[in-house]
Amino acid sequence: MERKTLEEMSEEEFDALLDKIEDDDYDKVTPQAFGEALWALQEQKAEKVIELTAEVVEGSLHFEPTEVIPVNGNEIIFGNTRVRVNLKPVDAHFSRFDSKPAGK
Amino acid sequence: MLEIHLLKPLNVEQQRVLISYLNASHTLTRAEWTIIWDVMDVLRTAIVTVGEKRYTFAEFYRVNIDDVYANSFLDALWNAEQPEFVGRQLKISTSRAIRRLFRTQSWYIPAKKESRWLFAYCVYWWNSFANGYIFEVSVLRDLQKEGIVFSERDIRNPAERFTSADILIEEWAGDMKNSTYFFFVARSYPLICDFYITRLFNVERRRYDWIVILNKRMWVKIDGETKASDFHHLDECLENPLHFELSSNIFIAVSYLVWKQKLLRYQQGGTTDGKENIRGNE
Repeated sequence: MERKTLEEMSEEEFDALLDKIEDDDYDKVTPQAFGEALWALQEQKAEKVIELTAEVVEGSLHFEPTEVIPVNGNEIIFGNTRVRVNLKPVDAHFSRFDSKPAGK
Repeated sequence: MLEIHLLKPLNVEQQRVLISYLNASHTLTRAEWTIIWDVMDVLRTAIVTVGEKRYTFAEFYRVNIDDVYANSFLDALWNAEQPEFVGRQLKISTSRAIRRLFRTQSWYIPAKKESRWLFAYCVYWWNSFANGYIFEVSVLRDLQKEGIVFSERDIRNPAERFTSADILIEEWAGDMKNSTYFFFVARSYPLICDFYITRLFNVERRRYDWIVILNKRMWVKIDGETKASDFHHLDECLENPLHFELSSNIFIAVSYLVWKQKLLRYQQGGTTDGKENIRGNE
């Protein structure tokens, strides 16, 4: 049976869907489904690779201009979206863990 | 006034895959997983206008849901003696409060069917967020109980919620993600953490089996033999550690229990011969 779309559902069916979300049915990923999703990721990643080269100029990232995709300094431009890449200090991710171990 | 605008309209197939995902994600095919991630991207960047204010769905969620409910939820979860039980109760009661809020604030208008997109998006992300942290705190408590030494981020501190790692064990950075959240992380690559603790749903036993996906660098240190595999046989990692290739990198999948025992032995300065036959998650 074909599933209805969100907009095709009755009010009761839509409410029941929200109940199912609360019951975590979307999160009951079996090993087989997990494997399918990993395959999908693998295939998706193989679709296209764009290589960019960048250097750090006065603390900011600068992408080298390329014909493949427009860039502007530390930005990569996809249509009307600009992806701005900012640098973080090297240890910023983990420095906050340096205090005391909590496990024991 | 409430206006919803999807920048990229979703076709009927995409909409049906979304419903399949929310009802029973285990039925999704490989192609449908790709579709669902695209659908999530479209919804995240969809636009909602409420009165004079204009948000993307992601911004709307942050301002009206996350900023309002996340901190008190995380605080209660962190202090709970039984994080899975308390977290689940609080997750559901908050989800119900969000559902009431949508109706009282007229963020959901039954006659405007397109307002269901925003409603479902926010209910989904709240539940997904809560499930992710319930899982994370449950794992932390278990590691602590086992005597594994680690440093963890403080999830009650908003600045620390968005770090790229959840936990440090020895020199290894780790992340804990319930399965669907794991895929959202894995879409960005390379996977920068040394290990990822996630879970698989066991249909027969109606429970989750926890597994760990880790890189070779960590596995070599804590030792153990692996058997080559592909993604279709992931459930076998509950019996024996497996290795597989993803984006030209080798990863090891192992049951959480085996990983934990090897790690504990490593921290205690012992050796592992890698030939144990330990069943996972018994």
